[in-house]
Amino acid sequence: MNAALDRYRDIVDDFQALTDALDRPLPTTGWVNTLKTDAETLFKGFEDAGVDYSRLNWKPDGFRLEGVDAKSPGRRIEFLLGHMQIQEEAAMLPMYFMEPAEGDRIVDLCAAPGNKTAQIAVALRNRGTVIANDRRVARMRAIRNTSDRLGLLNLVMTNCDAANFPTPTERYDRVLADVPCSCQGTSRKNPDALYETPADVLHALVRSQRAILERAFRICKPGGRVIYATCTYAPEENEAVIDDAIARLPFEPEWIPCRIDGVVSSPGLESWEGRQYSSGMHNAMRVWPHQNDTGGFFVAAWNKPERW
Amino acid sequence: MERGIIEFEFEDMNESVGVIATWFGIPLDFFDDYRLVRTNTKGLHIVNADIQVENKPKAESIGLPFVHTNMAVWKLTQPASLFLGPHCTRNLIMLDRKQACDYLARKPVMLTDDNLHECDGPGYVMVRFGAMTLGLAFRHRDDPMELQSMVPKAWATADGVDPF
Repeated sequence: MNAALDRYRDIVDDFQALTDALDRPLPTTGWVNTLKTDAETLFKGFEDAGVDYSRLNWKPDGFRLEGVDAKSPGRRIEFLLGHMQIQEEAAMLPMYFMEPAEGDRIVDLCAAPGNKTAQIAVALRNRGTVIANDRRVARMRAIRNTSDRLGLLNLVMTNCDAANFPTPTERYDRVLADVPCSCQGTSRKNPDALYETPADVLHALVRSQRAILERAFRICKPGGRVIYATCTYAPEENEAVIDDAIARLPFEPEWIPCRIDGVVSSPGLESWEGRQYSSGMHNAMRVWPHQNDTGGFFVAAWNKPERW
Repeated sequence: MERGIIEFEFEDMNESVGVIATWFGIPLDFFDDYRLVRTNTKGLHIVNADIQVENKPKAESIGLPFVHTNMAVWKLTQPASLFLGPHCTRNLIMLDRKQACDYLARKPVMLTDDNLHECDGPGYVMVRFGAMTLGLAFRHRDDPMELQSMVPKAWATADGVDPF
């Protein structure tokens, strides 16, 4: 048994189902770029071309590919022309809680490779402003490629350390902190991801995650929304980071219940290995791979109070 | 203007897109919701009119690459061609499946008389397959029945691949 996985035995609803799911390949999923086409047109095109697909039951413009097109979706004409984007289903979840409004100014603090940024830009219908920030220049090329293919006009790319994002406080209507993590939830795509993170690496990650989340709260406008996401199971990188970051804030953020009809999930942990977390943690969303045949993911969301 | 927001010097829209809009039969008021920004010496980017760019942090890139200006005749980028293509009404060529595959593979596309209904003469044309805009191509004066694909190498399909 993988030790990195075994430590989660007591917090998974069905551990055997989890390990079985991790042995299966990850489905290929994506969404329709409604700036260029619409779901019915894209799906009709799939049917005419004999593409084996099914629609996601929680996301009207989401789909899952099967068969030969699932292996190389990037060769499909719909991808080449930017009519669709390929993204892991669990990674689409944070956008559900964004609820952007027309003209919003939104920042994705750790944007590469840019799929969630693209979701935001499309949801804003190419209006408003989406800041796609990433610290690593090399990874920003992926954002550029995605943006060009999808035809995104409302994107501003910046290259800064998210934890020290240099902007006046209370600037953004929505802030996405999809932070760098140990990526254990991506092991169906990259089996090497499921390892026991060395203590020093974990410590550095956690420190960075906490700083990014704190910064996210500070640059969010009063009444705005902050979303925290990781693709790891580790409570140290999820509930503990949130607990520590919130404790340092001069205000009490209002938890958004993160549940989606059609998506099976588990609540955030209220305790782990003897440590108690804040009472709102059950509002967070843990997605285990066996629950929806996806990767693993964690999402939490808050509204920043209007006055504090 | 909110503090910290950059007031861009937008390019003159008529001057920048007038020729392109006329050539491709796109009404000029289509561009009312957009602005053109010069971010480097090589070209212009197109952004939505209500975009707000802060002076800090510094923007590395803004909007969509629109047109290459470092050449005698300005050339639309592939992202801009895909953006404008659905709105073009002139200098538009409908390809069949074989022609479309050649075009996407950056191979010369042999035209037929039926392809040339909406063309004014040599120069840039927008190409479509069915309802899908595929991008920009060029008809040379000395061989107007052959189309040169303008698909960038990074966007091209491998020779022999049918992405349809």
